[in-house]
Amino acid sequence: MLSRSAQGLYWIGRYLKRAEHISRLMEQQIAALVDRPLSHIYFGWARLYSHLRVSSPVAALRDWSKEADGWGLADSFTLADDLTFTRSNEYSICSCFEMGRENARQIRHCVSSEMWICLNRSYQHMRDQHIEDIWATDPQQFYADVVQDVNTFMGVASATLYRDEGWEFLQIGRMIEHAQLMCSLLVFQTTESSEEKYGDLENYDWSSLLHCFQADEAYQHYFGLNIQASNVLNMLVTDKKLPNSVYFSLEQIGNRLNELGDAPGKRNGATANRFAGRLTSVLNYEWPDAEDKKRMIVLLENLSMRLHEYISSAWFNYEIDDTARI
Amino acid sequence: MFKTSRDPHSHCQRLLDELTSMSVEELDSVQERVTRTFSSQSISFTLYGEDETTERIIPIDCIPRILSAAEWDHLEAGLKQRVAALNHFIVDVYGKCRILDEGVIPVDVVKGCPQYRIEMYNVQIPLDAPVGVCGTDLVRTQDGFRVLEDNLRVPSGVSYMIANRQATKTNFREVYRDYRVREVEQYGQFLYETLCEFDPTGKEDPSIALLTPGVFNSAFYEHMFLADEIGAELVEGRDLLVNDGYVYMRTTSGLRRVDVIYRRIDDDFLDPLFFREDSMLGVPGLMHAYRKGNVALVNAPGTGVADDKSVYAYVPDMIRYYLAEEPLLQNVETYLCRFPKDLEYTLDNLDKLVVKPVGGSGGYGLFIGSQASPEERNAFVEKLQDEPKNYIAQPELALSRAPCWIDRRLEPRCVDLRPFVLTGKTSRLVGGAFCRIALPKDSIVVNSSQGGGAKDVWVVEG
Repeated sequence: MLSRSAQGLYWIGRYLKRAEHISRLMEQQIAALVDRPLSHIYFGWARLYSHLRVSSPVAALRDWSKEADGWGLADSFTLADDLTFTRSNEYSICSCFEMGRENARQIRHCVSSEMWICLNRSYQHMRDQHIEDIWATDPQQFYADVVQDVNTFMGVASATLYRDEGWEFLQIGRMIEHAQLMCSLLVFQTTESSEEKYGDLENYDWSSLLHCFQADEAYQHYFGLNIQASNVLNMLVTDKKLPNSVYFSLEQIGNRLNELGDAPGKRNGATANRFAGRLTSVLNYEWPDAEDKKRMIVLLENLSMRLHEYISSAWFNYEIDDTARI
Repeated sequence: MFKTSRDPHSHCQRLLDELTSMSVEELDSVQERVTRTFSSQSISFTLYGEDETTERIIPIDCIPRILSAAEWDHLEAGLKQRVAALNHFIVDVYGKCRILDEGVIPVDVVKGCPQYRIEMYNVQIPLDAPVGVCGTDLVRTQDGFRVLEDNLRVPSGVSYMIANRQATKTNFREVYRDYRVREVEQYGQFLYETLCEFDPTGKEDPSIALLTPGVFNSAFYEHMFLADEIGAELVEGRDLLVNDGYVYMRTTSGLRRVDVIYRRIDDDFLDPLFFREDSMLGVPGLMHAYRKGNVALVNAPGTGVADDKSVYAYVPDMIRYYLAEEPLLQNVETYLCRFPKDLEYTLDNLDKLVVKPVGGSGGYGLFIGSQASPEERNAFVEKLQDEPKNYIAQPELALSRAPCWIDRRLEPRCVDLRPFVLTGKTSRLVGGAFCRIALPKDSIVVNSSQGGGAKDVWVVEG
């Protein structure tokens, strides 16, 4: 497969996972607007913006490390618009779809026509809407629909995409994006949730994460109804059966890199494989005894970012000197 | 569809009966379905200069244009004859130059043409077929079909021909079956077979790549579509590199040799070492590999010399010279403004003529005398007198019109026809063509790059 095509599939996976991740959090955040205290809502926005590392369009909320004065519930409209439809925000859901679709357009011969039609329809549907439209009807449902669109796309891909390297790169892209965003989210969560400025969050911050990432049933199964931050964190990071856990993604990446075999950029390919192995080893052998979980999550995030670089330079942008000619 | 205002061609009667039996709502619904098909698949052609989105969905009209098998067979024979002569001509002007030496065509018309590529001089062109893919524009006048121009560089439109068919035929199932319409869907197979014939290695399964300028090119949809149809990799210049005189593409398994490149990128941008050195779209060293015979380029560089509009006027002479046959398809009467007599005629009759830049394509730079304001006319006359050799003039033709479903009614619109001829060891045509429509009322400009639409063409046996 052409390296650029593989790279395109990888980025489709990443952008759509990003759109799904943000939509899940947005769905939760919109639900919070109905009945949660202002401090919880403020925490929700802070969590969204900080872990995505983007700047808020509301001046009063630009520095999340400080307590915000002069912010109101009405700002949620602006923030939702920014994270949903604003094209200049590369982390808005619409931008993610646009970039995912643009990658698909450039390598359209590498995706099935069903995948293309599915993605194109979702994109066109989103492109034609505005925040006023969804705000006036059912914004929560809108975000649920976006998640559904991404799931449908992946389902169509699963049913129609030929299982060659392209499939592996699509999945690796999804998993790397997921691992990075989850780590970033959990770094914020472990650092900020005890801050006084948010008041007593009543475990809302942790329980909302379980709900976002469809872990509440599994949590109840293992831990009952008592929400404890350490248990939630353990589950979201290390649960091997939870599709949205960090471990699950990292293990998948390792398996798929094994499937791919030798990379044309041999040195970086081998390093990528070692990194993937190291990531799961960290979780298997270091995490359980680690005192400072936050430091571990920061380490995981850094390693997964470097893993992305090694994958890029092993398969997409490799040096040609020592590469085999076919 | 009609010979006169009330007298339909016999082969169009069946469709006419079907249309008249349908209600406005039914036809609206058909139109909506075909439009939705194009939209959901984003079958697009980019209009340059639009600042909104760069993609524009091709406006498709749901009502097919009907041609009889006899009409088509005549066109097919004429087109094959024409392309054969053009291929002889291109090989000749980059080789022995017999046609120039014998004065059939003035030397300066050819060698003064901006598309004449001195870099191609004495290059062995595979199969002596520089034009592997030709899209010839035809218009029907009262005197029958006329060739408006030959597109020999990177002609586009064939993907829309196939997409039109897929979108249209399901909406007129019974008529389609009754008519026994000739297929166009095997174009991909024909193109693949043609490209394989150019393979310099003679392998059974050559490595073929389609070279595109990228996603911002107006015909990018088509590049994707065709790469998919022929099972080729869709590559950009940055995906290719030349090493030891061979072309490779960068794949996830390493560097893979490329044997045949179906290039959809203009000569100027192919290789910055040979042509425009500021080209970011091409592949440094590509021409070196081509000249060594290690890779085939289809179409060959330099073919633009034969679709220059000044050279066009001499195609009938080429047919007589190389094939010793009379042309089966006639040109449109053409005045070469480089000749004082023709320039004088053009200036005297500007309001009846369409003046075109000789090296132009895509309908850019056209001057339509009957539609120009006095200011536009004066400005154009100045340009024409400054550089007369850059222009040709043709009479404004009364193009044939076809019924189109516009604003909930049948409206006549000017149409043209672009069949595609594939030439390797043999010539191949599918039984259909890309039909372009001038959408604004009374417009004669059908070019997709000028906002033209499209409709399906049915060559009917029944």
